[in-house]
Amino acid sequence: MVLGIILVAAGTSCNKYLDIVPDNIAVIDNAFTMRTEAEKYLFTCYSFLPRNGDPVYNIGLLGGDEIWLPRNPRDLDAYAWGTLNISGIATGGQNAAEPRLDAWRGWWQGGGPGDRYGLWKAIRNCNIFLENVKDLSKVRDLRLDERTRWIAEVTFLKAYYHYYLLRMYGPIPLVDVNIDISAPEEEVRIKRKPFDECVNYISGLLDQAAPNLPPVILDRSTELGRITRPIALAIKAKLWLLAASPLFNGNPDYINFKDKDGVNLFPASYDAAKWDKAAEYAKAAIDAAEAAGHSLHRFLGTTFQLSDTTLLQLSIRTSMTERWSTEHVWANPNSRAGFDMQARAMPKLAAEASGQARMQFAAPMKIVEMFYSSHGVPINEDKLIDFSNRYTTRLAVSSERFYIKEGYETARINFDREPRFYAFLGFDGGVWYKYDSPSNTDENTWVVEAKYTQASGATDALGFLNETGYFVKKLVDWNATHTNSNQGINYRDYPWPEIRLPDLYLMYAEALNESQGPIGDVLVYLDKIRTRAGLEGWRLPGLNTQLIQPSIPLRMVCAILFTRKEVLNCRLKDNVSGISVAGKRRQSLLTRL
Amino acid sequence: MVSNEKFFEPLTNVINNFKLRATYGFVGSDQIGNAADRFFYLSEVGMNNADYGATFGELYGYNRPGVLVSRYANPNITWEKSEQINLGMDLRLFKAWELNVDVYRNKRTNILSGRTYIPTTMGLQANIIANTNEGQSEGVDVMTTFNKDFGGGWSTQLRGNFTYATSKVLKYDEPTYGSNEWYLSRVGNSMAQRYGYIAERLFVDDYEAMNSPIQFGGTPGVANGGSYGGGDIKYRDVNNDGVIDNRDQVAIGFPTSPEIIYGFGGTIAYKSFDLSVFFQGSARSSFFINSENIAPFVFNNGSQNALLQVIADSYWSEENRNLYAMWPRLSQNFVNNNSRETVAGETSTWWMRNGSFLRFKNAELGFNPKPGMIKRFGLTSMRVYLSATNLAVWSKFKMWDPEMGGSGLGYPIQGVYNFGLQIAF
Repeated sequence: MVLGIILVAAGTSCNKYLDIVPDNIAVIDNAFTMRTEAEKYLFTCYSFLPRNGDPVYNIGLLGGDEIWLPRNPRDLDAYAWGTLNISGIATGGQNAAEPRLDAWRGWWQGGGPGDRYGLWKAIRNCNIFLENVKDLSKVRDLRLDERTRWIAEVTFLKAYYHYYLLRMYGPIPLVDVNIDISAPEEEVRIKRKPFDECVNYISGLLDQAAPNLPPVILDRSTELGRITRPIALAIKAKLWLLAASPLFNGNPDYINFKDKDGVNLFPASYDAAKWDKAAEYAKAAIDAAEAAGHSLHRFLGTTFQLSDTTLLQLSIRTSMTERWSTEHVWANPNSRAGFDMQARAMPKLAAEASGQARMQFAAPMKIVEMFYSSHGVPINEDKLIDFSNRYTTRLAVSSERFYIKEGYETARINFDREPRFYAFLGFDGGVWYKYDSPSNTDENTWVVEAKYTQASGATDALGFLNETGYFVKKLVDWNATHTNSNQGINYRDYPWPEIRLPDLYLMYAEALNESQGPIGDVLVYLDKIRTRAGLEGWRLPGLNTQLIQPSIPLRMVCAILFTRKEVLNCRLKDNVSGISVAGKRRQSLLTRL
Repeated sequence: MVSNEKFFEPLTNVINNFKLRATYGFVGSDQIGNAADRFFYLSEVGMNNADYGATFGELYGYNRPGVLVSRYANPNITWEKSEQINLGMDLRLFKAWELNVDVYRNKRTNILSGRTYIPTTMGLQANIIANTNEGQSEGVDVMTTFNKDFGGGWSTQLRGNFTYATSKVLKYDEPTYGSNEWYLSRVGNSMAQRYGYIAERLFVDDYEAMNSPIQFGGTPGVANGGSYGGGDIKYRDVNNDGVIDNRDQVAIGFPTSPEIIYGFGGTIAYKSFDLSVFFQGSARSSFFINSENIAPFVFNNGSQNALLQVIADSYWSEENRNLYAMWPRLSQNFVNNNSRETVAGETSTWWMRNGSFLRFKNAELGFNPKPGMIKRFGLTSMRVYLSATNLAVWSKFKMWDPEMGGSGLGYPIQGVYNFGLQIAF
């Protein structure tokens, strides 16, 4: 009988072997030994900022109805829109199994420059950075003032990523401290927090960050684009505007939205004080931005002889596309609007190589009609100009030649419109002045010809075409040049403006209007924008200020159009068609006029 | 060795040999994870990852790469432990029949496994691996031979073997599933268990597809340009959440490698003639037809498959809406709804087949003339034989040899027939 028992015991003298730390493997501690390494980690925290300058990753740009595309836009696989092969949001393809623009996990074009840039990963990186850099025994060559600033920047980013998720998903879990990777299931499965708690938490982070952020970037050559104090205050104002908006503020559809323990995740009732806060914080952001030298953009002129009309046009156009314009409170150089954005908005002004001017971004007629008349009022409110025959045609006369080519026959709706209409839209017969104007002036310059068989007409059956005949001029920098060598067009990119000063003005005006009615500052700040756009202010006698209250969001549109969707400022259900701010507002306010 | 003991002596005529074996062992294995993860317990970061860098400056002139964590430190990583018990018996009866039986059980703990319940909110950029799982495998091996010379020129040698091996997951790193999704838990199933969708039948038409749970985020209604519709496979919404997605996968079938393998055969000799045969078989296995490999009409890498007769005989068409046809709606493209394997590595009961079979593996009939008979030809030995391998296979699956598994159009298993003459001078 054989009974064998084999016992293998671990050796006892392995200590020397196990103590060897390999010297060719970098561990997280290595990132926090020196300033040069820690700086990389700081930039890592920045790298997750959503790429809004790329139409594919900009969550609002193509997902709603501000911009319309061909059903199958060539070489543009955007999950926000969809193609014949992929279902997108705008074409009704949003679904839970493969959520489009999923910033939560970083898939389906949610957020970053590629997949994998889920914002929870960003938050974990921020927390790793904060844990290490707050420890004074680490990164010993980092000076205290710089250390304080870096901590403030990353604290801001942590708040911003939370804010971004909050905006997309409503109540979210809050990750203030990283959870250990070996934590048991009950610890890693964290719960969503009620909406108000999320807002207060994010607002608190921004309050921590703001005082230690620089008001102005002094080292423009290496640091422009980093976070400043006005940026932090602007995001705080946006956060509270979101909280005050009827979508989250006592939204009756979500009053019974509870988690599994019965905790109410949405505020139970409407709180008007949130508008007060939103107004207060927006004003604080404006004051900080203006103190830091931000002002409404003005075109500084050029050596060419240009008419006043064209100079005003350029002031309006370049407010968006000028690099580091004075009104760009926050522009992100990591996400620049280059070929991908501009070529898709550009009509073919000459027979340049197809594909260099892709023409796909089209403004729907609703947007076309939304711009004001030349008197600065909505076209159906203008008592002096009759727009009822808007789809008949007439010939342009000489006095209109800086807007529409003289003698060109085009639609009535294109005549007698506000300067912004001509600055932001291109259309059949419309002038598209650029730096490379063949005449070197704004006389006899580029004109869009967009009828069938013409250069910009919808003759390209392959998907480089414009659905409505209205091109989104706003996104294209005026320096885009047709090169002589017939190679097509060179576009001058610009850091995507995440926040512009007029955004803050409008946020302030909207919040103040909601909390106190159309008094004082509401009109002051609206008029600053109207004046820049070449319109008379609302405060002039003769204009009925009673009209203002319901229509601020509508008026916001013309300033922020084609940059992003302020979807969440409106309650979505019933009141908004599509998911655009251009839709209607609360029912009680819909009774205007 | 029981038969060597004193008390056993009276029995040794009948039981010539009786031996019991038992072993118990406890071993650790550090051959876990993959070789690149040698320093598993340490974190690893890429310090110059351009994808996670950033650029600042007026002319975008200041760029620094970023840091990507490719592994998080885990000081608790340890080796896998395995506890093994073997019990065995060797028995020899009547000086002819020999029987060897082995039973084993192997319980493994600390199995290294990716943690599956880490929620996205943890924000991890690398998968976490930990010693979390436990599993157990057990089985029986039986081998028997029977050798006997009956005299009068008759002799025989018979042999058979039988193996049964199965495994069970004892502990698995998974979330606690709700009562409507209990089937998602792997605990208690075989470690090699396959999971897949339950295919109910084919959709009658597009309208039925539109009124059924959405499958895999697709668009129902082929006629409207949707991704699936009438004639495509309809799957069961197991958790009743109104959509078919990966949470509707259940354990289906047996593992793809058989749990039972057996063989038997033997040789019978009478004077100069001998005949030997051998059968082998397996049971308790499933396999899944790789439907894209046999899909007709589809251009795949520039070539098309011929139309299999079974498909031609039984397929869904508008005219003949056979809801249980062998082949769903024909298409000139792969229909992702139907062939989930190559799309998502998923499968369904539609393509699942029983992998059991019994094969007539080989047979040989030989004739060895007595040395006296061949001496006059100057030969010292001679053998004439007729042999064959893979003569027949019995299986419930008729389309192709079940041992080929899911890829039916591969190079088939051959039958070989030999007629031979061996002579030695």
